[in-house]
Amino acid sequence: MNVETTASRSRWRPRGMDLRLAIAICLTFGALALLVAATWVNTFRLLGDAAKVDHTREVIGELESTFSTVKDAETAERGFLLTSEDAYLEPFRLAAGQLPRRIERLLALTADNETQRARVDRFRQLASEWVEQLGKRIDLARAGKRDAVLALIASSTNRRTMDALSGVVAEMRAEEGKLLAARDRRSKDTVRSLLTTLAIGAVLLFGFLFLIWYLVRADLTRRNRSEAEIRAREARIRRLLNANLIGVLFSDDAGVTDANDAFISMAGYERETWNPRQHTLFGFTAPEFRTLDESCENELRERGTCRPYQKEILRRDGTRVPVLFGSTSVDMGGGTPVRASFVVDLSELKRVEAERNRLYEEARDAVKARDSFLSVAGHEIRSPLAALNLLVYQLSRQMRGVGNARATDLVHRCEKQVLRLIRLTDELLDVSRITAGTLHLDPEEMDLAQLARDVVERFEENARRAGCKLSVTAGESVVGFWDRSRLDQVITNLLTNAMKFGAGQPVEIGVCARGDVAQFTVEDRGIGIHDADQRRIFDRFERAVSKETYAGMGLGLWITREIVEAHGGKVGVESRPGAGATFRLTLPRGQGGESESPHHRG
Amino acid sequence: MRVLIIEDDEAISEAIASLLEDCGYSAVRAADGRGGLEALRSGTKPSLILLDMAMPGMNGWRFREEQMKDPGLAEIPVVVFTADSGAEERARELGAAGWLRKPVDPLRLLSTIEKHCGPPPEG
Repeated sequence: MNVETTASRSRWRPRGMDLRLAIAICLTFGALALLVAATWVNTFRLLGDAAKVDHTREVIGELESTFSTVKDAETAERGFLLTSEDAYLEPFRLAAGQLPRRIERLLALTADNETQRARVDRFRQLASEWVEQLGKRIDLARAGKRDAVLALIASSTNRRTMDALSGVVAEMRAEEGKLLAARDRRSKDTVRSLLTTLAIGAVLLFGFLFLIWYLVRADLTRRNRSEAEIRAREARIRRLLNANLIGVLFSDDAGVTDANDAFISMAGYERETWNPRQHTLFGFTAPEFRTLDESCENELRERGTCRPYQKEILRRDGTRVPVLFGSTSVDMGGGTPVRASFVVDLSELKRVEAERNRLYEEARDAVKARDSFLSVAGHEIRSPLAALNLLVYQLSRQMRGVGNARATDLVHRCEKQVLRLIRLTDELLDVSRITAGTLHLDPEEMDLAQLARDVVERFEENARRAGCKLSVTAGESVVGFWDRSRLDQVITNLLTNAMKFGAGQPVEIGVCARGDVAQFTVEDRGIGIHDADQRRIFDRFERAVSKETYAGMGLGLWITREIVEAHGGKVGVESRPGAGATFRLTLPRGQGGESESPHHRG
Repeated sequence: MRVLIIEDDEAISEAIASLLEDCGYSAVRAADGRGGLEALRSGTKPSLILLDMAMPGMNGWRFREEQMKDPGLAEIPVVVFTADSGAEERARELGAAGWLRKPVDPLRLLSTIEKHCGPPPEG
């Protein structure tokens, strides 16, 4: 549907009327007018022609009457001549008397035709000659001069006059007949042309009417369709409004004009008592959000829409509702701008958010509590352990002199278990230190190759028991700046693992210097590690094997990685299941440690 | 050959004292810095002080400060005895003669004592 926008167009055709329809209607009126005009003209011509035919007929009739009057006069004269009775003179006189009047009338009738008029003149002349001759003969007959009368009748003059009269009448008859025929033909032509015009006009009219019918039908169909569309769209909007999922407000410059139930109940009113005109669009806002409203209003003025923002509105009872508010100008065709605003109640969202924050804080506190418990528990356990360790050592010293082999062995085993407990407690404390970011390094210049040899030496007895042959491939010395006790811990961890998972197989340790870094490897031929587990094993509490088969808390490799990374180094593993594993450390040799790579963990 | 043990955990201090006495040294115990100072000022001067750092009452640092203020006591070597991972650093800060990490390794304890007090009278 074309909507007319220019005034000039809407002036000649009604608003909303299809252009083609308007043209078709104009054409129809035009055709009708032409048809009427043509009919009018032709009818008038036909009437004119009919009048002329009548006139011609009148002329002919008058001519015949005049001619018969002449003959009547002759008949009366012959009767008198033959009978000499005066009774015949009366018709003669009557005819002779009528003749001039008739001729005058003929003259009048033929006033529009010069030729005929000339003929009438000649007829008058001949007729008066004829009447004169008749009169002369009647006078001679009355005087009894019968011979003279007969001579006159027989004379050529008499004959000639009569012939001339007949000739003129014949000419005139012929002329009028010709005219009559011509006028008849013209009338027929006119009638034919009228019929043709009527036929063409009717066809055109029917055509245009059909066109109009077609256009009106198409227009109505289109109108119906677009009306149906508009109705469907309106229904959608109404459904949205009535669904009350969000509050909707309509407002103009004077204030709120309408709102849906969702907004009304959000604002704490009831539909029955709600009067929109008592409110302005921003009148619901809690005071501290007014500045946001002002920038929204500016945006509305400049761009016709304002981005949604969060604020709080005051309900009728003074309580607050957190909402998301957005507004846009809607063109309703009128002069004043109409604004549609939506208001989403965020109470539930805020509640969920608060709940989520609470849960998050709870979880964070729980983790903090766990870490701090680990630290406290570690420290607390360590004191009795320290005392126990000293006491057991003292006991073993005492046993030496006694010579009870069984008791000595038991004490020795106690000592080992105490040491194991101490190591586990240390691991736990390391975890809490690393987690708290307080892992402390004491770097000093030291020889990694020597450290490796020392640790291996310390492990000799364990290795023998595990059936592992330990071998060290190392340069004379690999010097760097590291925390000795922490690297001792790292090597201990890796060797312990190698002998645990590669029992009965040789374990090879390699130390070498490569420029700025030292490389340390521990290679076993044990059960190996699946690809999927290779990254995981360095994570906290992760294990690649079931805890039923192999003991341990899953902390060793994580602590190892943390210590190596605190030194600015890297740790990695290459392994295939069943083919053993090689752990490789790379440690920067320079003034590394803490100063170069600050190590903090949250 | 006397060793002063300043340690708040009685089990540890008792175990150390017992071990040292077992090895032929004589050991005196104090539960905090104040007790330590009292022991120093009242009895025989020890050859070595084993000093715990974290203690309720007067802690290791404050004891060390007081000790250094007293010219009669300042010369006595101190071995720092702590559960801290930065034991070595602590020792340097306090100008201590040595350090021991809790839980202490008995062999290291004995070798440290021997270093400062000489070998025990009975092996």
